[in-house]
Amino acid sequence: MPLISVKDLRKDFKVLAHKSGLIGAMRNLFSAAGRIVNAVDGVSFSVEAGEFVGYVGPNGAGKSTTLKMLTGILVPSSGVIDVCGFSPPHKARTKLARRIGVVFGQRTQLWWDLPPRESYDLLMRLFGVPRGVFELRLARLSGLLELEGLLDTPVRKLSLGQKMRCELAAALLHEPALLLLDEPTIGMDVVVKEQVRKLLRRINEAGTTILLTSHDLDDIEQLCRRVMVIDKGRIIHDGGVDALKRRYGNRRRLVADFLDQPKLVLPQGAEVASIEGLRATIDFDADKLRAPEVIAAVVAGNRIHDIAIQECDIAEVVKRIYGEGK
Amino acid sequence: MSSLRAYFSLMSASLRSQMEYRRAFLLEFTGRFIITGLELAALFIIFENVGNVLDWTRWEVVYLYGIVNVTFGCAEIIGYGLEATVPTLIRTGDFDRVMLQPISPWLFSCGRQFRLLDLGRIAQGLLALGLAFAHLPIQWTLAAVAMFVLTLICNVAVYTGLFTCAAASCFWTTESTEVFNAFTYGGTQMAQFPVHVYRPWLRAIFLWIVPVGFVTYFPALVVLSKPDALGLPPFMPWLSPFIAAVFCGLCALFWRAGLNHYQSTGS
Repeated sequence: MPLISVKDLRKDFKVLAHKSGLIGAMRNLFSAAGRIVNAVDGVSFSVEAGEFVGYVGPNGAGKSTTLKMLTGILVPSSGVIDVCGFSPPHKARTKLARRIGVVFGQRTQLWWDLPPRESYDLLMRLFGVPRGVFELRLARLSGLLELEGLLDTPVRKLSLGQKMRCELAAALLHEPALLLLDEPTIGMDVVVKEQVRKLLRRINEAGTTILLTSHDLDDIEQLCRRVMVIDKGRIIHDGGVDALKRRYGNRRRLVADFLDQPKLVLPQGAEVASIEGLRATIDFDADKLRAPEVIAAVVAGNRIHDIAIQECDIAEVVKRIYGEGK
Repeated sequence: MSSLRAYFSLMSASLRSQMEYRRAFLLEFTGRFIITGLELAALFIIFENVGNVLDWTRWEVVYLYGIVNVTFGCAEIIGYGLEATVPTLIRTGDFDRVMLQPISPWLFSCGRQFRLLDLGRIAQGLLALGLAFAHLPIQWTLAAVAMFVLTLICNVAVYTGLFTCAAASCFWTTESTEVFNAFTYGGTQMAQFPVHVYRPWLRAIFLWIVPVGFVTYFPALVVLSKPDALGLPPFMPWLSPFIAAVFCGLCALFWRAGLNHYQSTGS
C-alpha cells in the first residue's frame, strides 16, 4: 500500500484578466473574464513508505500546486489522490494533519513573537500529545536537529538556518508518517544548506517518508534516490537521479569577467552560451572535460578579472529534457 | 472537547505574544475604553435633548445599548481572529498553514488573535445594563429571564456569524471586508435603538437578512414588557433562536464554500 498515490491529477486556475487604470479596476469588479491555466495537467505517481523523493521543476511548473493538493489545501479540479489512506485529502484535512508534517521554506508555522518552545507547547496541545510523550520527543528532536540554545529565543531573532531547524522540529513533533517539504533550503548559504541536508537525511533514515520540492539540483542530488521532474503541469521524468543526469548530461557553467575583450578558443565539449560586455558564459560537459581544462583555455591569452563555476540550474536541465521530449 | 482546549491554548499564546509589546497593548486598551465610554456619553446627550425615542424611554434604550455591547464584545473576543488574521493570511497565502492544523480552520483562526481590550467594551455594556436594571421596573418572570438569556446567546451567535461571513468573503476577494463591516458595525449602531424607528427597508434588512435587530428588539419586548410597535404576532421573540440558528448555518456554509474555493498563492 503506497503512502501517496495520485492518478491523473489536474488543477485548473482561472486567472482573471486584470485591466489597468481606474476604469479598468472598476470593470474588474464586475467582469469575470479570464483564461484557464492548467497548473497541474494530468499527473500520476505513487510514493512508498520510507522513500525520499525529489520533486523538481522550474518556477510555475506545478510543484507547489501538487503539494498543496496532497495536503488538502487545494481542491483538485479532477483526478484521484490518496494520502495516508485519506482520499481525497481536502475532505479530511484535520485528520490528515495528524499524519503528515509540512514545511514551507518561506512560511513559518512558528509563532513569530514567541520562542520555539512555546510554539511546540501549543502544537502539543493542538495535536493532543500527552505532556510526558511530548517532552521525550522534544528531547530527541532537539538532539537530532541540534536545537539547544535556540528553544528560548523568540523566532524573529533566529537566523534562516536556525529557523529551518526549529521548523522541522515543529513538523515532526506529532511523528508524521510523511514529511512534505517545499523549498526547504531556499535563501540559505552553502554551509547552512549542507547542514539542513544532513538533518533531512537523518530524518529519512529514522523512518519518515519525505517528498521534497526544490529548484536546487544539489538538494536532490545529495538527498534523493528518486526524482520526479515536472514542467508545464506534466511529469516528464520519474526515476533515479543518475538516470536523469545521464539523460541531460552533466553540465557545468563557467562565468568569466574579463578586463578587456576576450579571444576565446575552447576545447571540444565546451561552448559559449552568451557574451555580454566583458562577461562570458560558457557551458561545458563535465563528463568529457574537467573544470581546470576549461579554465586554462579561458585564461590563455586573456586578462581575467573574476571567474566562477556553477552547476547548471534545474530550469536549464528541464529545458533540455523538455527539448529532447519533442 | 480537545479542540476547545486547543482553542484556549491558542488564545493564551496570542495574549503572550501581545505582552511582548506591552506599551502598545496598554495604549490600545486605554483607547478602547475611552471610545466605548464616549459612545455611552453620547447616548445620554441625545436623551438630554429629545426625551424619548418613539415611546422608548432613556433607560430602555440604555438596556439595548448594554445588550449590544456585551454581546458584540463577546463576539469580538470569539471572532476577532477571523477579522484580524484571515484577510491578510489569504492575501499572502499564509492561510495554507491554517489548513494544515489538526483543528478546524475556523476555530484555529478564531483563537489565533485575542484582544483583551475587547473586555473594555463588555465592561461598558455591563455598566449600561446595570444602570438600566436599576432604573427600570423589570418583572423577572420566567419568560423574561429566558428571553434575556436567549437574546445574549443569539446576539453573540449572529455577530460571530457576521465575522465569519466577512472572513469567508475574502476567499473570493480580499477587499470585501468593508461591505461586511457595514453590517457588523452598522448593525451594532442600528440595534442600539428600537428597530421601529427606522425606515421599513432598512428595518427589513436588520430583521430578516442580518438579524441583529431581530434578536435584540423582539426579546427586549418581553424583558421590558413593551408592546410591539410593528404589530407582529406575539410569538416573534421566541423565533429568535431559530432565526439565529438559520443565519449561523448559512454563515457556516459560506465559510465552507470559501475554504474549498481557496486558491493559495505561488510560493
